[in-house]
Amino acid sequence: MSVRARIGILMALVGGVGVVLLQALRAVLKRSLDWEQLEESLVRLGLHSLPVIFGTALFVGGIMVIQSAPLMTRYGAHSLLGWGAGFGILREVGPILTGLMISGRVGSNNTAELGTLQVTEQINGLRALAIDPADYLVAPRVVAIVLTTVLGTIFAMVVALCGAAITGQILLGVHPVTFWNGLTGGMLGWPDFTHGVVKSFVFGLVIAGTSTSFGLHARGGAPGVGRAVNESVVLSAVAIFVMDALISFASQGH
Amino acid sequence: MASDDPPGPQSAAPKQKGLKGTAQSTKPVRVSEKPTRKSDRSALMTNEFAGASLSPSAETLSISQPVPGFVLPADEARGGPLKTLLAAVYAIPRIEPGAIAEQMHLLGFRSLGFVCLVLGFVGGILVYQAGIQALRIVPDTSTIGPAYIEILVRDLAASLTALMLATRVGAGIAAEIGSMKVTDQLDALRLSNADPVVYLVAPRLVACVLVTPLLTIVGGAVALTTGALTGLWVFDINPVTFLDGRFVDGIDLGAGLVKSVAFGFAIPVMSAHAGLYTSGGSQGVGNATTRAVVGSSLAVIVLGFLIGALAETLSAGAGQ
Repeated sequence: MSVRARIGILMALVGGVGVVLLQALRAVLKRSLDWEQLEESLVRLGLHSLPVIFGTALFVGGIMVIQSAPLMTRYGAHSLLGWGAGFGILREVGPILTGLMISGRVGSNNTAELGTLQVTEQINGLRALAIDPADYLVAPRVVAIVLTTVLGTIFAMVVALCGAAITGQILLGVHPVTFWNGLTGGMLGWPDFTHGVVKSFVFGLVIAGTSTSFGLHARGGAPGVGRAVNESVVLSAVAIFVMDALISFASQGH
Repeated sequence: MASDDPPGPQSAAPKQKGLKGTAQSTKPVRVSEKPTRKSDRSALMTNEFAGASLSPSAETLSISQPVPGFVLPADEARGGPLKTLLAAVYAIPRIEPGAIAEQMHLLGFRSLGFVCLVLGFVGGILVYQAGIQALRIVPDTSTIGPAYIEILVRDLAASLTALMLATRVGAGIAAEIGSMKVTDQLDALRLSNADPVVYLVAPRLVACVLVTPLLTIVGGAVALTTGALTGLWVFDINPVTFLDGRFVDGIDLGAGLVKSVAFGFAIPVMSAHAGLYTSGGSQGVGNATTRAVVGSSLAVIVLGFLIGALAETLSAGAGQ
């Protein structure tokens, strides 16, 4: 494949994501999105992901403490454990890992469903019934995924901090009160929290746009749906890390 | 079980002979009755795998399987990922020559660019964020590099590479095996006397176990390079000061290596399991992919936590 063809495919991908997000935005602004679908998507994509997010966050909090343990013990700085773990969780690990898990669970599910509708020509069926797929399928899912990512990240941050406090107590003997003091001791603030939330909002847009666009462009039966899911998960993961780097550098440590 | 053979074997043996077409199958074939006692059931379980790992002239045969001689039942008995892992391990001696190399190319070499891209970005972000924070406390940039290298060796290189492989390789394996399953190609393989576990799962397992540590090393090197470059451009750290491995000890190296091998086992098993038990049409393939990605990512995170905690306890014990 020539470089030009590759660039063309890349532009088509980015364009597809943009079209999906614009359609969703228009449906939200015109208030024409299907509220029942939104409610159902929120329950199915959002509420049912909570156990996965909970499990991931608990262990990630533990991993953060284990990985910062050698530094803490080397300098005897147990009071800094809360700051170290909290900083990592709020700014980087919380949004990224929640984003990856939501991309794996919700994004791939979304691609699979829309891809199935597409390859069985049910989307054309909707059009034949004069139902706009943008209002009925695209907008509710995009809104539900973005909300899930933002709220799920906040939930994951809380759970991960609890997991970090528990691991610190068990493994390093750092009392949870010491952990809490390190967390709130003035070196961390709301800017770190909002930094993470802004990231999660961008990740939500990326996951929603990619998974919906790939699902709607699936071709070729069951193998085609599998391929679309695979590509959308991979592209979401790359996009999450690239956006993370861009936001981190653009915010200049604020 | 050999003493209480029912009259069944005499009727089953010619069938077995006809199916396999080997000279050795003139031996009486032992067919176990449906297990009633617990000991019988465990004997059946071991026989099931042991028989499958032998050549087509297997002496043991259990009627709990729909097609004799195959490692995993098609749909009748839904097993856990552990059963898939055992079946794949038992199937390793029967892998076709060349299949492992092909899978290593498909799963490993094709993921190289993806892994390098992600780890390169992560290396830059980490040094940037950690450097800014470290400068708030100690205005000394000389420890950023060694601390970063230690964390990279202990955990980050292995975990992040494995998370990326869980999305790329895991989703790929599940989508491929799952779409073969829903289009009945797995049954077609069984009809051609090719066991899907031997033919599809075991080569992927071996290839992934071999390739994950290699990708971890390459990804770690890329992350190290971008980290050192970020240190040079943003914080003016001399690369010679930055690339200092004085904090890395044997336990760190061992933990990183053990993690990457464990992840190499977990990812293909979770994904192949999700693919093998796909049901329904294209929606089922999508669901299998979801289960594969979530299952392998969770396995990576939980295994990383457990191995990390073990290594930390070991090094705390060694330090005292």
